[in-house]
Amino acid sequence: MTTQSWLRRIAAVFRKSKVEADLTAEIEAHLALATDEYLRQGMSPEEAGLAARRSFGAAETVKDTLRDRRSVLVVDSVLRDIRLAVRVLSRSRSYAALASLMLALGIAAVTTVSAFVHEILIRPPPFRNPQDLALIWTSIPGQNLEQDGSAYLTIQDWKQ
Amino acid sequence: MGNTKAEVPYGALDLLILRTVNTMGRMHGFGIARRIEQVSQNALQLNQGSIYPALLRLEQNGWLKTEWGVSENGRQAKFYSITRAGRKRLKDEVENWERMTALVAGFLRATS
Repeated sequence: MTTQSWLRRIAAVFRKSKVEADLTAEIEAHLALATDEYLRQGMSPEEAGLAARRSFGAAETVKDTLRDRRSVLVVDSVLRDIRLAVRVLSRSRSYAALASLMLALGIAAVTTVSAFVHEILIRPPPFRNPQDLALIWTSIPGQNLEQDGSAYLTIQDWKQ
Repeated sequence: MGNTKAEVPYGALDLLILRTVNTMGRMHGFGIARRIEQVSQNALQLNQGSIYPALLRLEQNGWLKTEWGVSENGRQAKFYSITRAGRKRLKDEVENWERMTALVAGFLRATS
């Protein structure tokens, strides 16, 4: 299906009444033409009308098929769903409020946790060559010192 | 007549319509339906209404174009005519149909 025909169908949803009128007019035209022909064959006007309808088949079924093809059913049913949701929710306000609150809390919790995880685990630390980061311990076995912190000045001394 | 009428084979209606409009030029729905019945010498069981979904499909695919006009006996009607893309489609459909029927015919010979 081409983009153009999709656009046409979407447009059709919004001008349904025109489409509907067009449809009815086309079927009416067909029946009129068929009746004319049966009249020419010598039927009475009544017989001719009936015969035209008979040869056309089930007009309503045809209309339904055409309607379905012309409009985008998805858009149609989504709009219907939204309308229904609004109606049902506005009927029980407290339930709607509770549900919204739950959703709000849930979304807030998820956002907080993922922001945290992103900041701490995923985003690299904010300095150059973070993979070269090292932890320096000072151990002096004679004085029973193990894995003691190293003073900044001591490290400065080592550097020289 | 009656029970001996054949249904329009699935997928053949598009072909019949395109072919009819291509041969006859600009036509309204009733004209197309009558023409198909006449060419088949009324051996085809066609609910005339059933051509409209097919017409719409063909129009939506850009193979037919439509306009409202006045019929030969002064009735308002929607007229269909074939587009360039429609002619190409008709050629493809005819080839397809011939390939398909040849295939089935071959199959029937081989298995009988």
